[in-house]
Amino acid sequence: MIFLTVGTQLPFPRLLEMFAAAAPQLVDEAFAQTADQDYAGPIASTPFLQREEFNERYAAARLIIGHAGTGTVLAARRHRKPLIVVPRRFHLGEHRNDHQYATAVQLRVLGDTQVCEDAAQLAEAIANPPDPSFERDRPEKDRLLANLKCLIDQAIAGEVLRVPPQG
Amino acid sequence: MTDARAHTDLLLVASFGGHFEELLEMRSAWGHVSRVYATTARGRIDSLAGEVVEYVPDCHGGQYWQAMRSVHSLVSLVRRHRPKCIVTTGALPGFLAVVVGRLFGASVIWVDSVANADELSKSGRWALRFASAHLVQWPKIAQSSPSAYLGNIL
Repeated sequence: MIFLTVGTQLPFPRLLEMFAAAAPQLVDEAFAQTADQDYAGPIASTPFLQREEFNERYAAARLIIGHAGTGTVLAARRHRKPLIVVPRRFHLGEHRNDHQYATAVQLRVLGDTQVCEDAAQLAEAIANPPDPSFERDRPEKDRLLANLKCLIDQAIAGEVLRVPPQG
Repeated sequence: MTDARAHTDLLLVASFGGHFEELLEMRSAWGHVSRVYATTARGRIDSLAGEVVEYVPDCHGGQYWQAMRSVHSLVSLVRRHRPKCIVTTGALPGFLAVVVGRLFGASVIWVDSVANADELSKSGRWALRFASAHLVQWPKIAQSSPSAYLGNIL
């Protein structure tokens, strides 16, 4: 099963259309969470899912295709599933700002999620999905955890917390 | 005999759901200290088997009675466990834990959610006044606020 998810805030019809165009032969295998009560496309779908149902869908899927939301990225990682994202774009009215594009840029650098912006890229990514062996270097995460540990140790030692210099 | 002044080093607070999952992504930062988790859902949490998990009633903005219940529960929790440090990713119950924690003399670390890529959450803004350390996960936000960017969980 291929699970498509657009998050809970806004519909994202472009992602669903892109998938149907990129992989029509896989539409029968797909299930989409659409955030759209009026979705009338060919993919089996529901607008919203409870948390447990989301987890079940993630667990059962062989591939996740989603918007570039941080919840989606973290959920795919937790379930160790290959993830392809399509960032919502502000100039297309798909989001209130372009932070999904900023997230996508960062994900590209990390290299474990495929970022697609059109049907051709999506078709290519579906044919060659990313490898969900998520033991990759995450320097920003390592940095945050090290800094947090340091602050926690200071707190337990009864010291005033000293936030390290940034940058 | 238990030490009447026994305490837990660290209290971890987050609203159940995305905030809580984000908190768990950071758990290797506190694997070496004694800890208690508190969240707004009851019942078993598989990923926290073996950990102490307390329940705090949930509340959202504008829900004054629910917020009072949350505060009451947090006060009881903090009195019982006496944490030296509290770490929270929000949301509102996390902010209330910040205030309660400071009242009881704990150091409190606020980590704003990675999902807030443009500006602080409302609770995050309020937490600026109370947190001992206040972190955001996007450098752009740190540039225009008193908060600090020290990495992110992506």
